[in-house]
Amino acid sequence: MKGSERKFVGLKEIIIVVLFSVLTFIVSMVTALPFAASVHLQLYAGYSLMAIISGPIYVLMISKAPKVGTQVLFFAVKGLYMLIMGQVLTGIIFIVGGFICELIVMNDGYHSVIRSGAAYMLHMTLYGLGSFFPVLFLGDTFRAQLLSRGYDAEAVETMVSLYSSPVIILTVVLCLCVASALGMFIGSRMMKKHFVPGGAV
Amino acid sequence: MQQGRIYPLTSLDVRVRVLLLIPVSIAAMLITDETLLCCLFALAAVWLLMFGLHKKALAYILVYAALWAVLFPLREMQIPGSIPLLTVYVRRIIIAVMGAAPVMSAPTGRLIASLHRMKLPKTAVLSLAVFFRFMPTVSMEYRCIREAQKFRGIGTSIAGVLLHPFLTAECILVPMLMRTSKVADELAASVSVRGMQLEGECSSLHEVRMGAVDWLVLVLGFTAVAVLFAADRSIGGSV
Repeated sequence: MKGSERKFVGLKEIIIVVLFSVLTFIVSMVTALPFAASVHLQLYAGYSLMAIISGPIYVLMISKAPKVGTQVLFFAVKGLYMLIMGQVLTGIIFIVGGFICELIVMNDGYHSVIRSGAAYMLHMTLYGLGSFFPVLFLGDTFRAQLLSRGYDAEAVETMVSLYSSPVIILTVVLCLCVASALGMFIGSRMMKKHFVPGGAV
Repeated sequence: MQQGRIYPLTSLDVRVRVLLLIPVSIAAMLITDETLLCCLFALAAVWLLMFGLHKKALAYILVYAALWAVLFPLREMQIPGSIPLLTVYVRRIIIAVMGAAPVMSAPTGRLIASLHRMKLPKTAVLSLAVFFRFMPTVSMEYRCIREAQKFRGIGTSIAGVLLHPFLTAECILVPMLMRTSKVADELAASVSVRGMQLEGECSSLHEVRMGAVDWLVLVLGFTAVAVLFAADRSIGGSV
């Protein structure tokens, strides 16, 4: 197979990417739990922790599957979950995000720390902003949903204003970018310390 | 799945399980009336029991009951935090996850053969099969790692985790990733020897055929969800 090195993901890479995507997805759920008591803590600390822990997973994944289609699949798994959970808009945004990430790493971008890091940053930022999309794009529907489920109008307004505040969105984006960079750095260190000597790549 | 006993829907076609997952998850997100949502949850619990997934059904019932127990006091207090949102959404997500449980419990060979028969592209078939099969094994892998850590005295106490969070994270993450990497390689080898990377029609040892029971369950399932949804609309649920 060496002679005909494929550019696109094959079955082996699909398995690798799906497995690691599932792991990052589980990490995102686990890291959200300790901070569930406060929206602010969850948005800043929970999301940052998610981006830091997912960094090594991403680094190992792209070193095992540096092919065209990896980024789309990486996002598509989360998009698929969102679609199963009825979050159609977020699912579609994730899939579109996957294609943008794919463009960033096109033409050997996996060998560039900056380009692969930028794709990871975008991935984590879009994934973190996933909880903002229903408020940002479907504000009235989201409001009506919460009200119909028995929430007090004042509490709903507080929630909507929180999730549509530009300052909060920018702060979350900033936190996610810094945490993603840190995650990539930790991932690269782990790669040299554990995964390459351990024969994982 | 529990071994040795045959449950009413153990041999149900995987396509029926996948097709019923779609309306169940949509209804779980859109039904606004709490009573009807509970009815949908009860149907999902019965759905699991008919596959012999008793432990899972019991676990979901307990979590659902606990969320109900905290939901109303939280609503009374009107806390604008994530916990009230979690009680609203997690209860719905649980129903969707319950709908997916019989798909996850299907043998991999049967799952892949059934998805192939749905005329899905190979990439999608493999992604779905890996997604549904790997999800339940992650917690098992995690438990194994924790057991091994306990044996070595790493991160066993809360104080240990708090004092050395990075060491604990590293001790969990590295073996988890090494194991995932190994699983990926083994799965890839398994897929290769089964000839899935080859062009053309894939055959399977598993007979994939919709029988009378499969059609009946499919129709009944769709009807039940449609009735709940229609009842919700007529009550006045507006989204």
